[in-house]
Amino acid sequence: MLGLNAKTRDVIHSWMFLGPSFLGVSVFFILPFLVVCYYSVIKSPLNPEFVFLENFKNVIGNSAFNIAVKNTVDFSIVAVPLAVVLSLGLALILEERIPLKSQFRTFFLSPMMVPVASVVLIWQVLFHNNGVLNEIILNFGGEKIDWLKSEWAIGVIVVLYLWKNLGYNMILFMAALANIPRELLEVAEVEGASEAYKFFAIKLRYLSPTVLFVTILSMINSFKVFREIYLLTGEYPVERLYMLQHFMNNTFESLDYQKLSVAAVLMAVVLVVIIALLFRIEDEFGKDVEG
Amino acid sequence: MKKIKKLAAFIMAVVLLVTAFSGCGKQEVEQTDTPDFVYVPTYQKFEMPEDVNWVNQLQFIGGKIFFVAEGTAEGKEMVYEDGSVYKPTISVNKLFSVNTDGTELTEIMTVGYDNYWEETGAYHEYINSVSEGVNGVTAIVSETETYYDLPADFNENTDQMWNYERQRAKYYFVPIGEDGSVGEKTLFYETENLYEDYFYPERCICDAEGNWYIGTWNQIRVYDSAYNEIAKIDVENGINGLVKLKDGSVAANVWGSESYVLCAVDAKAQKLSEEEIVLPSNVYSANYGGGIYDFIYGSSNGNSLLAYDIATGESEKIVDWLDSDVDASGVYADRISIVDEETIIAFEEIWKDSGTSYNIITLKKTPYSEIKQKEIITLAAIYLDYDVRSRILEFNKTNPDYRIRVTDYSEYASGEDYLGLTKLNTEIISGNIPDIFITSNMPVAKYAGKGVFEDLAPYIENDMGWNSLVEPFFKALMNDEGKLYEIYDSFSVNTYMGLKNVVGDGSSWTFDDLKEAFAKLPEGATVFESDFTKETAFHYLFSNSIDQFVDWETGECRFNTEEFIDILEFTENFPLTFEYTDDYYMYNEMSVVRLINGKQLISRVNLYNFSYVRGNTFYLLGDQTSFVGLPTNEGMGHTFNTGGAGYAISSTCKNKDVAWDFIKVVLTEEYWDDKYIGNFPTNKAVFERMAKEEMTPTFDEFYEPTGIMSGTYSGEEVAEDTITFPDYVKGQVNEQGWHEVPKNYGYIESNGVYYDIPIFAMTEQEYQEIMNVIENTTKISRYDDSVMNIVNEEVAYFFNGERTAQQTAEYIQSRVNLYVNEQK
Repeated sequence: MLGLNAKTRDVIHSWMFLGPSFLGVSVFFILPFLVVCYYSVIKSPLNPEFVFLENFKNVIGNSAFNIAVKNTVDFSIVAVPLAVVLSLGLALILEERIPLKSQFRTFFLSPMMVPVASVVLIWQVLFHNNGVLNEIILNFGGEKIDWLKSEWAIGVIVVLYLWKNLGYNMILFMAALANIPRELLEVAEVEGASEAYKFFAIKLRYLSPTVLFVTILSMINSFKVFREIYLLTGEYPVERLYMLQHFMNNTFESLDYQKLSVAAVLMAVVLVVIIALLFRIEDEFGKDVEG
Repeated sequence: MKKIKKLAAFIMAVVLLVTAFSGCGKQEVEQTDTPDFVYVPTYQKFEMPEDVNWVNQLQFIGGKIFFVAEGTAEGKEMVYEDGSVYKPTISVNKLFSVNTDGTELTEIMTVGYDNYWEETGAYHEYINSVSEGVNGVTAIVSETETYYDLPADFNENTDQMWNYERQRAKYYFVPIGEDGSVGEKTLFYETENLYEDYFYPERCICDAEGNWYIGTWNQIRVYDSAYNEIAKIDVENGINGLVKLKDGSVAANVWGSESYVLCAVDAKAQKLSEEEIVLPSNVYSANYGGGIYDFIYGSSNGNSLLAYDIATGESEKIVDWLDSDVDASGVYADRISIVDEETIIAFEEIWKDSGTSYNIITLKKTPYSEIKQKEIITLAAIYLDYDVRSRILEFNKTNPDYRIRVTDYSEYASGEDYLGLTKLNTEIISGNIPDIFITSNMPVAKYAGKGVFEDLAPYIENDMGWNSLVEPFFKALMNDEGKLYEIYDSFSVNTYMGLKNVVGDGSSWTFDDLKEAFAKLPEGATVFESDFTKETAFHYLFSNSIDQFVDWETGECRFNTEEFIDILEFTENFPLTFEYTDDYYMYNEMSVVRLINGKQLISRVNLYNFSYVRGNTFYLLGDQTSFVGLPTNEGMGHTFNTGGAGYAISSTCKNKDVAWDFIKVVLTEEYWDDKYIGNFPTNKAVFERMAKEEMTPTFDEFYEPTGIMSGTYSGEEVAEDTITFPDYVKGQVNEQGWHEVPKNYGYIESNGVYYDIPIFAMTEQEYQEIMNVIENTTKISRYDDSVMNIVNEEVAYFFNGERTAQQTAEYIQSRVNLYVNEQK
């Protein structure tokens, strides 16, 4: 390092530490994504003729893709806000001095420790056509509902998603709540501020980076709910449960890499836009507390 | 402190970098296109003595081949009551030795039957095995005698003699001298009741200390070099075989707790070792590795010879038979001698219709670079069949410029991917596409849809022309755009037949027609065979008409329509399960009889040659025969089955003409020379020759027509005929008054009575009826697995009464709709 000025040394040091991560991200994320982008604009891996947006037109006009997009959006619109609001609510409740606080926390965290295969097994026992829930309904004189094939299917998956994700989100919120300056809340208390005012004007503002993080995390997890749906209902569930990842997984299985690549590129673009938007909102909402 | 932190961070960064790069230089399993070396064969044709039929046992011992062969000899002279003398031909076992260059064939010993015809029992000698010992060669010879242990109160009128049949046996060690002399035999085991003892020693192995190990199905007996018994070990789970290992010890291949394992045989402790060596799942038979390898075995797909190393638990491919141009179907792993690390000798036995031929093959390990280099054509297969393998070998031996290299992807099969398709798919997507595909077991439609296959229709047009082929079959193979992606050597037709006055003449046969005709049958009648359940009935009714409910072009599905719900509801006429009882097997009427008796509407027929179909249709139903197929709204309900292996060429193949020259052979007339024709050939000339032969009557001066012969298995007389055969076709009589000899015999059973029906030369009308079915068949018996899986999954709930037909149809509509639209 002799003969180098401090700034150059600093840059070299930085790159030495950044290097491994940068290499990993490049090899495992950026390069494959570039390959996917390439596949999305050629005719096929066997015939790499440049077709530009032809594949995009085909996929956007594909009704299976449209159903998958609609279902994924529907699911995310319902499940993500619920996951954020409910976990925040739970965090606020567990922040208070209530009996069995530690037991509740363990209870909400326990789904994180259960492997997906077991979760799916439990859900199958509960929601199968001949499952526990239908047995109970029959005992009360009701009629069986095929939960995973009826209109209720999406509801069952939302419940499964929340059950699996609330605990972790709640812990994140609890950590963020613990970091809000006590003096601010005490001043508000002395000034006679209402609980609602304290929540919206102080707590929520300080929580905004965490809300953003939990929202992004929940959104990513909402895409990952495919795994549970796939294990519960296979490659081709009823229409209401058919998600974008079903489309991608199935097109991969049928060697239709063009459709798979286009769907992946479109999904990446939409996610980038949404995340950028969320950052923007968070910037606006939390600027005075971070400033 | 700050420095320590920096140092720690730096070390971590270095570790991360090293970890990240560690995968880059890793030596993976070598996937080179060319092998490092090849075993080059030299063939020495071996002329087997004429009186030998086949080889039972073979061992390479001290530069010679010793083998036990099954042959024939003239038996003991017999004098009948009328004074006539008869010399029967009897089966014998012969022990031979021959040098590995095929010279000095010596007959060492012959044993065989004697007194076979005497009623008191049969005496039999047999050479069970021949093995190499420390002091020379030893054979095991057995003598068995069948006798009847009749009780004192035996009554031949009420009892059967064979109930008391027993067999006594004696087993001997017989030393063989270096000059081929047979030494004095030593008795080592005898029994009065072989049927109970079940002592059948198939292999005798000598360890490095000179002890002999003999394994039966559940016992190992060990004898010292003087042939005295020194150990007897019972093996509860049974013995799969014994093998001599590299170190000269002997191990038993037995069933362990979960798989086959090798256990050392401990003669002193009279038990198998506790230590188990778990064998790879594809080791069916472990064989001596010549002191170089622990043991050798043939791969499960028969393409290679592998050696197993116990220390590392790894298998090594020693010989790739196809690379060596050796037909592995004639070489067994127990007929191979590992001479040294460079030389292997194998004994080849090739069975053909024209006779069996034998070769001694000496394989020399040769660097690949020293072999004449040819341009490579790659061929992908999943479980390469015998016929294709022979054709590849023939091509490689005769073509001066090109060589076909095979990858059998079944070698990459795993529990989840039982065909090894993942590997093939990955290679296709990465652009490493084989030149030729043997399409059996491959997702043809998927590959064709992705442009993997070349359209073969122009090749046929420009080469042999459609006129030389049975065109309807190839038209059915084509896709909607008229592209043909695979070719086959033969075909058959699946159809259904009924009585013309019940099902009509077959010009139209919709599901409504079927329901209407069925309604007219008497109570208790069935649509299909009596063992059809809801599931099987639905499968046949639906699988043939999938296209009626799916429009692959528009992506529209019509499962939630009355037509589909009708099919579902019609399955109510079938039982959920069917129990196969003894009575069913004993007294079940064959379908065709049920048709005649009005108990069944239609019966499945597979038209694969001209003879069989006539025996089961025209001769039974006469001019009432109507081939209607399965109900459909489009065309006729017959479907083609493909026969033999499917061949396709990849669209990226660089030597398409060479690939075509290789695959087109299956469409030629010459292909069928010296080849058994199992199905209808796709070559028109051979097809027509087959028809012509079937239509040409043969006459015999001494043949007396028998008509339809009936009888019962119990020997009871047939009370009365339960079947009236309409318009039974009788044979012709020629100008000399000779009777026509039947071409074949049809066979049916009904209520315990069997009928043998002579089938004579095919008439023009019969020929036209069969051709009418073939020419009106437009579909291949193939359906989309994904659609079928979804439908089967959903209808199971309906069959079990858990859902209504309407609900089932809706769920199927929803799920199949997604699949179909994904494919657009």
